[in-house]
Amino acid sequence: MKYIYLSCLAAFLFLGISSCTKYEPIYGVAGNSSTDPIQLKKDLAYIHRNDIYLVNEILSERKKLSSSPTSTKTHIALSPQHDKIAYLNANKTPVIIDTLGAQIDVLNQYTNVSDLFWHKNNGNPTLVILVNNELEFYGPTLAVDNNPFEYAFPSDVTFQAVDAVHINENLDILFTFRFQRPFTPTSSLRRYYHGVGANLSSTNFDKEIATEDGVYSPSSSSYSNQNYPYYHMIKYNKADNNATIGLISNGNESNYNAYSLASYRYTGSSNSTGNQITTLNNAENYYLERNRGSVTSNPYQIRKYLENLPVGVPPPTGAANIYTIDFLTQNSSAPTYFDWNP
Amino acid sequence: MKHFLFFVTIALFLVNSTQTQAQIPGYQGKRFFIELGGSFFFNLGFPTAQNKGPRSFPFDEHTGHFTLKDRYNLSVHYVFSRKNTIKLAYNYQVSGLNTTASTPSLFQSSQDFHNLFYQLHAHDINLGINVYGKSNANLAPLGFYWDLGLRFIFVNGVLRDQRVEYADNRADNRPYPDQVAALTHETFTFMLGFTALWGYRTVIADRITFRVGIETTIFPQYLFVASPAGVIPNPLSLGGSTEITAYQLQTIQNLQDRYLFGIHIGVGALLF
Repeated sequence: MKYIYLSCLAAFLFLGISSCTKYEPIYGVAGNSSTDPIQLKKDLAYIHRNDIYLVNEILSERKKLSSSPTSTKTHIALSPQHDKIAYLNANKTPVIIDTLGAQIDVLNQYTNVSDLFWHKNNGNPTLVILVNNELEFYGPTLAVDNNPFEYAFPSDVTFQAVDAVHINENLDILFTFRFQRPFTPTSSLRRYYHGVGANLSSTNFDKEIATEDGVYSPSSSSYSNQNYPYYHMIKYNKADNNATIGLISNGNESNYNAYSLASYRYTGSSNSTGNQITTLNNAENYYLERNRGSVTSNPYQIRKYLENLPVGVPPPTGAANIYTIDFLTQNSSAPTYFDWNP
Repeated sequence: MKHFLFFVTIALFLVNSTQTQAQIPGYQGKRFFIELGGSFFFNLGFPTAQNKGPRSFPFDEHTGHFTLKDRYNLSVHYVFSRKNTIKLAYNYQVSGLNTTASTPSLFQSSQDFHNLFYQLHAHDINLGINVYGKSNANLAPLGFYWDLGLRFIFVNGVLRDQRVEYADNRADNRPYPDQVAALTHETFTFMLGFTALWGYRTVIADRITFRVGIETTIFPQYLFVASPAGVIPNPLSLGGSTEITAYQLQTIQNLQDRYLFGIHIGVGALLF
């Protein structure tokens, strides 16, 4: 009988010892350092379905700053310090909000604003507002030409408009424009043009290119009602010291199929426009920053390419260093407005 | 806990001193004895602490190993009447748990999915009473007996392995500290169970006892939140919330499985 007892005890001892075997991890564990995640700055703002969003460098965290999808918003601009966002409301009046979405100011003195952007201004950022073919400033005034667009328009124009503007750190003013002028000095017919210009601060000469769109009768002289092409956007392109311009080919701003990108080369002896190659069809906007990357958008997607990933961020799967935000399909809508401020 | 043990022991002495016994309880007059034992059974539910057996980490597969559930205990007994002893025991077991969790992805506005392997260290305080068989036959602590009691189990989960399916389908599933958000679920679990054991204890040498028995423990927590029938509204829950993490749910299932049935063997020493 004792042997039975002893056998039981031996088995007991064996099981006890065998259960002390150490487990060898296959993958390991993350440990506690994951409580200190990578800090990524929010350097991209965009408008989607009339709401404002602020996202981080790799588009992984999206912060919605507004909740008014029935109130039209366009032309977003993120300040250089990433602390303010300006956009145009339904009246095309600039509204300035902070990064929590709280309203800082509404510039009711301006309506029908065509474009706006933040200029770094050597550390004293100012919001540049293009309204009624003139530049206004919310913040310090930039030392630029008082009438920077005048040279681009012939003296006999019967209609003129500046649609988009950008000013680089050298205070060169880049802008897009349209005008109409009589077919002949006495004709009631009108020739229509859309163009792009560069008012260079460092020289006493300026540049512009105007493309004639055709000759039309005065009865259809309301330019904005016609399916005429025009450049709706211009951005200084640091990467090649030229400009990126956005073209709406048929004047229909709500149809993204009409959008395309082009380049305007104006530095040195050149003064020409050319096709822009983008990674996204029908992009509304295309930023290319030297040593930074690029951002493009259409109604379906924002796509960002980073030349160098933020410290600590591993390469994404798939296309190298490309991050995207996918939206639900929006048929016949304008491409997504955004502003990238790396 | 030390004060509690003193209290129980002294209280029992006092209770016993007020009774007049026809015969001195205890074997050869020995009332106080300690035992070392273990409970074992076939393991069909969860992996062992070494990740062997059923539902192993990371893919819920059976490793093909034959495994046993094992638990070890140290108990002290005091014979306070001819048929009864009171018992205070400490049980310890380590089991394995292959569970899952999701955390926000640091790189996509989505979720990282985790397969997690925990070792569940269960510390069990067992307070019980042993009731010995026939009134005209057995004399505590020898013979057939019932052991009825409560188990207070403190379960601490220690994460030993972590496989991450990243939201952006990164090929490497390793949990790099700077690539995953911290797990947030609570890894401590308290469980209260009701236990019963039917066994036999005998003397195999001078002052040395041997016992064998079959035991079971039922945890109401399992019935309320973790049974296959689903969550039953918990009358003990003040908040009324039935939210429970996968880890907590499976820990309760794991412990219930480990404690459901066992064959107990042990040796003891009659001290004084």
